[in-house]
Amino acid sequence: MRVEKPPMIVVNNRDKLDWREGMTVQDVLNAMRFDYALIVVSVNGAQVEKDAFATHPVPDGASVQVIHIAHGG
Amino acid sequence: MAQINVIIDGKTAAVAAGSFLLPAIRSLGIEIPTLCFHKDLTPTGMCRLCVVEVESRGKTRLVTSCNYPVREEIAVRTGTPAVAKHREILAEMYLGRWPNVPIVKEVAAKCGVNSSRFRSAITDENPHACILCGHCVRACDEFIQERILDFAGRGIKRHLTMPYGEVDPRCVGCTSCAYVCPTGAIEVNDDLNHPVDPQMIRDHGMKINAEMATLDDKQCCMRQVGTANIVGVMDRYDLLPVHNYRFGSHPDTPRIDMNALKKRLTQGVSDGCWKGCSMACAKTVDNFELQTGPYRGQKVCVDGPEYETAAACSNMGCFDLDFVFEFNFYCDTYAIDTISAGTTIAFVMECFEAGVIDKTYSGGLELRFGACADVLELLHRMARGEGFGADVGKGVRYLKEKWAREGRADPAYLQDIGMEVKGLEYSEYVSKESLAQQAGYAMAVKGPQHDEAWLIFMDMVNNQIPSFTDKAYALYYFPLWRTWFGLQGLCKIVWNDVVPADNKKHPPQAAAKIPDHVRNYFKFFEGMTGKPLDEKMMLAQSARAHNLQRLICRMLGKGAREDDMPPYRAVGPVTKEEYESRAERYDKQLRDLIGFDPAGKTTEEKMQALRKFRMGQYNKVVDAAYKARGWDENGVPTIERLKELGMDLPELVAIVKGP
Repeated sequence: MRVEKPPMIVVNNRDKLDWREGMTVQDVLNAMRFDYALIVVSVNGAQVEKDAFATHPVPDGASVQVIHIAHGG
Repeated sequence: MAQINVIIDGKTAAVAAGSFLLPAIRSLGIEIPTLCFHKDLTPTGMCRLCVVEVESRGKTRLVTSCNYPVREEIAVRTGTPAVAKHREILAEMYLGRWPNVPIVKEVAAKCGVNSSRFRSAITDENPHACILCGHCVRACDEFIQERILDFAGRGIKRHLTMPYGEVDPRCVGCTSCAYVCPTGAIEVNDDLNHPVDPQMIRDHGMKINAEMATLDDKQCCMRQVGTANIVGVMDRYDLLPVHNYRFGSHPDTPRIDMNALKKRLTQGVSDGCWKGCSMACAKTVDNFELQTGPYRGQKVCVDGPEYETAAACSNMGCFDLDFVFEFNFYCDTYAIDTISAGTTIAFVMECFEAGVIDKTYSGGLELRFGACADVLELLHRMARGEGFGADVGKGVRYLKEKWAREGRADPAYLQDIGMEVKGLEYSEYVSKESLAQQAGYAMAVKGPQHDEAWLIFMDMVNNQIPSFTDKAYALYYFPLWRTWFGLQGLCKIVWNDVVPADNKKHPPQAAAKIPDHVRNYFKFFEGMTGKPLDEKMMLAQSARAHNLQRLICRMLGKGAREDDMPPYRAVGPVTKEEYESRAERYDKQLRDLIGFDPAGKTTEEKMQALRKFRMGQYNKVVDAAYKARGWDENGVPTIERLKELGMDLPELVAIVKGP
């Protein structure tokens, strides 16, 4: 019997997220509740500019890295 | 941001909507002469040399490209006869007034003008004459937010001045004006502190000024609200201490977050923490009428609040800005640290609610979470050294020991929820989900303040330091780096509360160090002392101080492994209520990380398994961090490490060996 793997992406090499058709970087950030000001995103190793978060597609199986540059009081 | 196509001299360029035309033209390699444009300052179009022809909806007109915002598709022509004629006449006029200023000559030559018909009584032969470009006026305003310099007079009498033509005492000699002056009209007298290379310091300091002027509004909003900008962020990431660090968020946080605070801050400028600082993150609330205490009814100016102060209030469950300001004012007035006070009172509140103490014991104060009025009354009693207030003023460790002695509660419970290490109260971050932050706090030689290692995001959210070795390196590098710049008198805030736009060019782990800003600090050191510095030398310098601090800790009886052990509240959920509030997260960790099936287990059983795992992890990270620091398994610097650092003095070796 063949088992279909559910569509999935991995965020920061740890957190698994269900993938869906048409998913964008912004969708990933929303799902993770990442709304920090100093954020750098790459999808499968390629960096995505902030202006393109809402349009940049995230493919099934992608490794998405979301780096928060730490600041704090 | 939407992109708009602009046709420039026949070539198409995609331009972000609302951005100015000049950078887009220059990005195509087309030269445009300017005298008043500066890449880090708001463009004004004053010199009018950057004019180009813009065609839009069938109409053509001349516009100054530096401050022309692109809002629709347009055609731009940069070299038409009309444009050339306009520039030529202007250039000739500039050259007539300032014939010997190199930048004017250079720009005029680009416009095809090498001599002028317009020499007159106002011609200034000085090669360093002020050409009224306004760079200095804008730098004073936008870099330093001071507005000390401005223009006065009209027409040919227009000139640069300070108010009333006198030297303004508010000018601290930051030299931003001189730095951006294209002619050398403003001279700098470099006799302060006698740095070896003041220009080197200025070159790197001005980079920070430019970043603050151009990036801060899009990043941390430090100029608008200071460090309190992260109150809401911490809440959303479940990191804001609430009810003595039991929880990381609360529905009432919007009442004290950045947006609420913005409405109450009355001065958008620096309050003098360090005058001349382009970040100016210290904020002020004016005309605040006090409701309690010796100054009740008086209107005062309140400094702050900083993040830690606001979060100390959320930790006490006091989500009320009027309370935050009053608490902040009286802590400052009484010389009480807001963090230690907030953390201690939060502990007292939890003990009150748990029945460890009652209203009779507290001198009539109903110290439940959120009891703003009672907290203020307690603060006044602490300052007066009166009754229960005098006890609370002695801090968490004193209270834990006293209440244990009096048999008021199980000492182990008090230890678990009393947030102090080495006798110092925790600063205001929930560290439960970040192993590196737990160790960063509890291993800090000065006690769990956040200055030595603030690794929460790097560890918990970014997962940038997944292995024990990675965490140990972070616990080696960041405490040493932060100790180092603290020793130099350099502020932490401009290291990582603004980040260069191109910081992302570095791989993630390097990016977290903000390499360009580390380099700025090295250059400040070199400019001051004349000695070049690199990472290795910085770490060696800092390790000497850090290890000496550790030895002093040991002399004071607080420098052993047991002194680096956190209260369990800093590591995991102490109470059932805490566990159950985040049960999904903890159950998942039991399943995924420990292989413990939570199904059918009681909360107590699950808590026990989680605690065993987490404390095991904590001890592993401490082992790895000690090793990275050159300390033995008890947290004592080894004699080999002291030798390596040139610190093997007999007195210090004796401390290592112990009595």
